[in-house]
Amino acid sequence: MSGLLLKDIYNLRRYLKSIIIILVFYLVYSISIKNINFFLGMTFVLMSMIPLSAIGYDERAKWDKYALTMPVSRTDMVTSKYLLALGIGGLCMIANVMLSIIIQKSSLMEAILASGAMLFLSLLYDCILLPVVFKLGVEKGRYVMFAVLLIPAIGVMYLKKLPKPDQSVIETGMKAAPFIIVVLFILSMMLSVHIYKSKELD
Amino acid sequence: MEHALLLQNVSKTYEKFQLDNINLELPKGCIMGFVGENGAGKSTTIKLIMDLIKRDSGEIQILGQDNKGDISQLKEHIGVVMDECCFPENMNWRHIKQVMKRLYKTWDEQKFCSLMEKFSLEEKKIVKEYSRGMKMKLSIAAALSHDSKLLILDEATSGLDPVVRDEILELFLEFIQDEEHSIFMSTHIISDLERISDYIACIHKGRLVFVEQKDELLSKYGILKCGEEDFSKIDKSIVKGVKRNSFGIEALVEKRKVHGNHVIDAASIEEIMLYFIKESKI
Repeated sequence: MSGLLLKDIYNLRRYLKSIIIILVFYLVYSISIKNINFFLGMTFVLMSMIPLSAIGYDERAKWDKYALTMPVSRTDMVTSKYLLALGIGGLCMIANVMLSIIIQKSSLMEAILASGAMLFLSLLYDCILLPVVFKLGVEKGRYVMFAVLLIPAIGVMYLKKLPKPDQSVIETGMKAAPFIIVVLFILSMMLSVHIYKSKELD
Repeated sequence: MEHALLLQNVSKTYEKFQLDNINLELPKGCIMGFVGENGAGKSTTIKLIMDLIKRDSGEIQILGQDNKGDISQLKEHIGVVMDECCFPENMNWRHIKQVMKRLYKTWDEQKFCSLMEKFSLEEKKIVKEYSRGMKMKLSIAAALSHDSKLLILDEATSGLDPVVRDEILELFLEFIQDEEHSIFMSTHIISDLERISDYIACIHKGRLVFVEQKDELLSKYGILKCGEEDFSKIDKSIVKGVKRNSFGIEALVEKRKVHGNHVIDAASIEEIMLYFIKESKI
């Protein structure tokens, strides 16, 4: 498993470098407008795409059919991508909490809440998309990706028309969010393993 | 006799192609060449052996163990070279070494490094910048650098120049010195097989046409050259393929079963294969 993760990190290192350069640019911009939330949002948008890019690179090299001739199981192949999503999400979370405290002078709680909400959304995005990509491949999965991005955009438009929810509802939602995402993450991973186990690697 | 590889009645059906009832036995310590046209079913067979695609029926055993279920331990002893290099494009061989070390318990770093040096592959060049030959060398080195007892090679020597091919065939011959080691290789380059293989299996349109020891194949078949009249007297059950031209008839025959005074030339592996799959029957 550690070998598979290391392979992704080596292979994505140029891609990661370019993401970091983009993020530095956004960070400078965010500091200049004195609002780091824009930067936080961008970090997680770019972060949630990394596991999909990793699968895209694997597909191009036809890595999967080769890796499965090694002492690697189909379950390992899938879980390594989920661990990649989780690892990068965790790193972004830590970096963003620190930046929020230093630059925005947020309290620790505020910083955790803001970054946590972004982490929730980006992991949710991966939870929905990864099973689709394991089933259909990155190329066809891209269409689903756009659809998944469109739903919240439309949702926000309608949400504006609804009355503002009660403070207690928001607080309950925030407390439940970590548990919801853990359950969704595990369910999504189990579904992907199930899909990948019956996949024919032509 | 112990088998390195055993396929019994293996079938796989696609919409437009069927791999039909494949039976193969590769004894330990031997090299089997697997030949056939493009699209005959060679790569499909190899993917079935490695359980990358699911067989519809039949049994497959690798080193005495069924190829289904958790075979991680078994895979330590199988080295596979695909028809293309499947290492992700942004990695160099130093990265690959670090990754393989974590994937194989039996990884032999020293051997891998010495093969990289022998093949003159630059340490920092990424796979994307490799030529076809360099990519194949890298894959072959990776297959040889753990405790492989069975090498499964899919067109591993194609695209390599004769000098490199010769070097690699030498490596295979060195590998096979251990009588526990075996090689199953599909190829288009028959001269490679003539040089190193013990058995030849030929597949055509998803069916095995023959599986035979190479020496037996060469001594069993010959090319009979005669006119129509003489040919009509030959028992047709011993004729495997016929080519008609303006000078008469050339037919691949089981030469020991031909009676009478006829001109029978030796047949090469390539000719035998072509007669079996290309030339008309009788």
